[in-house]
Amino acid sequence: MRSEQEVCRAVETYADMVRRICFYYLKNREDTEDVFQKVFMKYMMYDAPFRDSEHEKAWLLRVAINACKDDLRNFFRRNTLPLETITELEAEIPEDFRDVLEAVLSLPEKYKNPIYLHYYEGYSAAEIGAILGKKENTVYSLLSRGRRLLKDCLKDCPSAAKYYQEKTGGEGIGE
Amino acid sequence: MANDIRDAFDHIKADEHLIESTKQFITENNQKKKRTRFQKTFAAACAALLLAIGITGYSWTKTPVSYISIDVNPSIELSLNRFGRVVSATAFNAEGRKILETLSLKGKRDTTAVHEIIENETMQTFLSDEAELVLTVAEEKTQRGLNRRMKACSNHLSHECQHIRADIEIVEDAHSYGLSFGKYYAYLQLSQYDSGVTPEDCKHMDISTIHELTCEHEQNETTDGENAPSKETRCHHHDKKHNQSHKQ
Repeated sequence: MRSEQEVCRAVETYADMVRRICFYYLKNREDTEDVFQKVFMKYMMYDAPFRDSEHEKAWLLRVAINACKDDLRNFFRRNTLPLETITELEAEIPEDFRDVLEAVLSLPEKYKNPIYLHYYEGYSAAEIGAILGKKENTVYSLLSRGRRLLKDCLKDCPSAAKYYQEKTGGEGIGE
Repeated sequence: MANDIRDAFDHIKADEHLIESTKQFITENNQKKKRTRFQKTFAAACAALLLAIGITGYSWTKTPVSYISIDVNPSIELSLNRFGRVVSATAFNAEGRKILETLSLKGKRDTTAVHEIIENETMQTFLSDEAELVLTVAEEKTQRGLNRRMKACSNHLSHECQHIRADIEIVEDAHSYGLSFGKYYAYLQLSQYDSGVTPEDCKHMDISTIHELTCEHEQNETTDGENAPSKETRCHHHDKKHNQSHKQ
């Protein structure tokens, strides 16, 4: 069992990362808190040493993704959505990036992880494959399809289209 | 688009409240786990102690520390634990086996077991007026009181009996010859006068016969007067002195 200090250090270091995974998986704060507790309790109980910080990070990503999936599988949570959820979600999304984030949230579940891990965490397809337990080629296809869906979604959104036109000087949405 | 996604996600952060509540949860669980670990260790220690007490207690109840040999013609031996309870009852001849077939003596008090054997219907057929009933007792040095209990018990028996106290070390020798130690003790007495007699010979004699032979040898030696061995007399039963106790 890891010491309390070790776990607190991990909470400080990886809280934002776990929060981002919870963001695109979960619907409310209560679930997010549950997942946080589960992830860091598992970290406390996991005795095996990590090779380096990258290994530790990948392990926590994997555990956080699984914890979120488990939470979604929960029958009660799956079938109920508290009233405050909408307001919570609204408050979570910064105004300037609402369109992009809403586009990510609207993606089917299988595309969210590869998109997040590639575009935000900077992992290669091979690394994403190792984390998600998928073949490298599968990750490539998921990334490609996810990207196309994102583009379509953002094209359909007038405010996003305007935003991108301004940014690219009228060239539309690029990679 | 990559930069936009990165910028957008950059704004998603865990707030202080979430971080603090997670840390608090970890602290509370850590203490609970430590407590549980202590409780588990304590429970395991208690269980081990109870098990050790149980095993010791069980072995105490199953280890014989004293023996009673009941010899008439039927030859029966009782092994007793330190609480004076019967651990096992063994018959050393067919007559004894016949008696034990009808009795369940395990776990019974020594006095009760002796009483049940002697008052048994089959045993009563052997206890004629001339028959000699011998109770031989052997106990470890730490065990005292069996001899006293047997004396008290004999007062309630329907047949007069003779008490002998033997050394516990002869028990093993007796068993190696297939004899109850009561009969083996009688053989040892006889063999002091008659070196030709063997345990095998005594196996087929009843206890009265062995005692009579010993008595004859004693009387002969007393009559001779000279070199009379300083051995205790085995002829008391012929003088109708019952309930006597002898030490080896």
